[in-house]
Parts: sequence; C-alpha cells; structure tokens
Amino acid sequence: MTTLLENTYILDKRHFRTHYRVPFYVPEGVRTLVVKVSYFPKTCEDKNYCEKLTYDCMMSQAGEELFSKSQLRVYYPLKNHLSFSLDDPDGWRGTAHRGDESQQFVISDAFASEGFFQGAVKSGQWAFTASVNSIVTDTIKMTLTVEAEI
Amino acid sequence: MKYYRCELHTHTTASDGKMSAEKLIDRACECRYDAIAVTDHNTTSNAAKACALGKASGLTVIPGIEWTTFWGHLTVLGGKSKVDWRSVNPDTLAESIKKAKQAGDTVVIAHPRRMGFPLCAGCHFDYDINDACGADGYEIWSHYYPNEGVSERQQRELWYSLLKRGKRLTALYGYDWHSPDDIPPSYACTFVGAENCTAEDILGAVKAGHVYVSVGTILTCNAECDGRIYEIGDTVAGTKELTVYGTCKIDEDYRSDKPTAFTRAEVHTANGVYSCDIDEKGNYNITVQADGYAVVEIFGIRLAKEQRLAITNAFFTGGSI
Repeated sequence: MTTLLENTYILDKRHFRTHYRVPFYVPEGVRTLVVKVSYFPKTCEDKNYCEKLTYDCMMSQAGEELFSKSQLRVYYPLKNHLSFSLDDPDGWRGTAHRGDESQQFVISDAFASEGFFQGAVKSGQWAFTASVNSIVTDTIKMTLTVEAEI
Repeated sequence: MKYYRCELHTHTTASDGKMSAEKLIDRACECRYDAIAVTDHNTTSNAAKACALGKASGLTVIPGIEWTTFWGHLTVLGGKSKVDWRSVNPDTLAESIKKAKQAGDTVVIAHPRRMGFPLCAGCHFDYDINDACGADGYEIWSHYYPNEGVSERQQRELWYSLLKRGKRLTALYGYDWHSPDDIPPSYACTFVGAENCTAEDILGAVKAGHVYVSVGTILTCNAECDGRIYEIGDTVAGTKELTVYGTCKIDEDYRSDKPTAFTRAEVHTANGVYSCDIDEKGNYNITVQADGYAVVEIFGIRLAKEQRLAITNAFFTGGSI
C-alpha cells in the first residue's frame, strides 16, 4: 500500500452546509483505492446547548403546538453528520450518506464499497468531499487517509 | 386503468438503510407492493441491482435517488438524469428540477415539514417552495404516522395552499423505508392508477396525477361532469359543477390495524369544503361547485376513533372543452 494522502482537517460552524473538498492525485497503475475517514466528536454533550438548539428548531419549524418540554431531551445528544463523496477524473464516483463517525471505502475494477461504483482507478485528479450536513459542536476534527494498492 | 400498490421512497445499505437490495425486494414482495422506487440518499449504486432482482421476483422496481441536500430532500425517480446532488442549492433548485425532468425523471418534494437541522439534517424543506413548484409530486404524508401529527397537518395545509395558487403537485405518501423490521403501528400506501405496472407507466401516472394515498382503504373515485367521467388528476372541461362519487372498502392486505367503518367523505375545493356520509356499503356521492380543484378526503373509524383514511390527488376544473 502506498499512502497518497494523510491529513487532519478542522471543520467549524462556517463549514455548515458546505461541501469541503480535498483533492488528491492518483498515479498510473493503481488497482485499488482505500479511503479511511473518521471524525470527532460525533455528539454534542452540552445538554443546555442541545436543548436550546432543539427548542429553536421546534419553535421555528413547527411552532408551539408541537413543542413540549419533555421532547427537548428526546433528541439529546444532538449529532454531527458528514457524508462523503469521491470524484475521479471523469466526475462523481459515489457518495456514502450514513451516520458512522468512522468509515472506509474501497474502490477497484472489481469492487466498490456501498454507495460507490466499481471500475478502473484512473490516474489523475481525484477529490474527496465531506458534506457538512450537521455541526452542533464548535469544531469537528476529521482525519483522512487515502491509500493506493499498485 | 388499475390502481397499483406502490412505495416510492425506500433506502438500502447503499446509504443509511438497513436492508440490502435483496432484503428490500424480499420485504417489498412480502408486503405485496406492485411497485417500489429505490431512492437512496445521494447515490444510485444499488439501483441497477434492485431493478434486476425485482424483475426476477415480479416486482416493478423504479431506479431513483433522494437528493439529500442541506436545505431539503427531493426524490428523483426514473434513473435517467445526471444532476450532481451536490450542485443542488437554493440558487440552482428550480433549474436542477427542470434538468431532471427534461432527462425524463419524475421529481417529488420529500417530507417538506418534517423537523430539520439539528434533529434531522435537511429533512425540513427550507428552500423557497416557489422554486420547487416545477416538481411533479409532493409527499403529503410520510413516515410512520401519516394520517396524524403536526408535520402531516402542516404538509397538507401547504399542499392545499399550493393548489389554491394553481400549482399541480401530485399528492403522494413516502414511507421513507429504512429498516426490514419496522412494521410500524400505522403506515400508509400510495395507489397509482396506471395502464400497466411498468416503471414508465407508474411514473407517467404520477405525473398525470392518478394517485390516492391511503391507510387501509381501497378506493374508487371518479368525477362526472356534463356526462363525462374523469379520473383523479384529470382536468374537468367546462363547468365547475361536478359530482364526485366512489366506493371505499377495507384493504385486506393492509398490515396494521385496519379501519372498521367508513363515515364520511369531504371534498375540498378552493371555495370551501363539502361533506357527505358514506353509506353502509362504502358508497359516497356528492355534487360540488369546484373552483379550481376538488380533493376527496375519506374518514372512518380505526383504533376506535374517527380519522382520515385516504386523500386523493385533485381533480382540476376550468379546463377548456
């Protein structure tokens, strides 16, 4: 395995509702690409802050009739949520939209992890994208590794 | 025309669903759906497999995707368009819907009044609804408790407000099916009136509006005007006076608590709500002045209380002869 990329990224609330794109280069002769990504924290443990966000959401989107104090705790702890996409030199190669804070994607001519498309691992400009669906903590620390099997 | 039992909003392990493509097809067959759409969040990677499995099982499977964007969700049915879901934002929504439709797909606004961020990212429709009115369909009911709840009422009210403004978005149910085991205490079904149970005919019928949503109720519903008979979703030519009639019966394939009786039919029009009793044989018949549209809502007894059991898409009035 050759490591093509290994880095840590700090996302903050300015990244909410943005697609955070990390380009990387894939050389000739790669048969399999392995992408490992994890992020922390998954949840916001600050009860008061979670209750405030939940209250604001309920009041603005549903109004007083849906709101009840007991429901404020139902959603605790609120969660950060990122979904991950890959682009190869020809464009979108798939997306993983699920809740796990640690995920691994494998792409090769004969196999692709759930959400992605199998096929040749072409050399050229690729990109990893983290789509910031939800950020309820001050920051999210995301660790990304891209490995290539020649 | 026959009304087929459909579920047009499902997920697999390609996104955050708990069912493999195989499991989804198996469960859908057990639930006696005639057709389903596979609408994974932001990916189509399981669609071709699900379609092939459906074909082998006698289940019509429509390829699709759920654009799960930061500002709202839309299901895109048909598997034809190449719109990158990441490009869909408040500036591009109307154009994205147009592009998907031009490619031959059918676009549905999903659960517009479900709670959104931070409880469920993007689940509340925060886009300007005017930018979405080029869509074909609208989930008037969704998820587990379709005929009750504040979200469903708000979705219904928003839909009626769009009808009043002349917008024609076909009312659908979206189970938003994620897990093999969730047999909820209450769920509904979309019945689509099509010539044949093919993906093309089902989606054509959704665009044409031949649809009703139901909780345990099989419905016939037509409108008669000046001697002509119309199907749900049709535009009634000429006069605004029409007679709406049909029959309700219990859906024996419904897998939750079935209705025990039908009580009344309401016909909602832009100029008011009309109501009539449903007789012991399940028949209803009512003549209304429908200015713009007429929607039938069926009420009955289920779980020992009266509740809304079915809503038709609209008949439209004011068309030229």
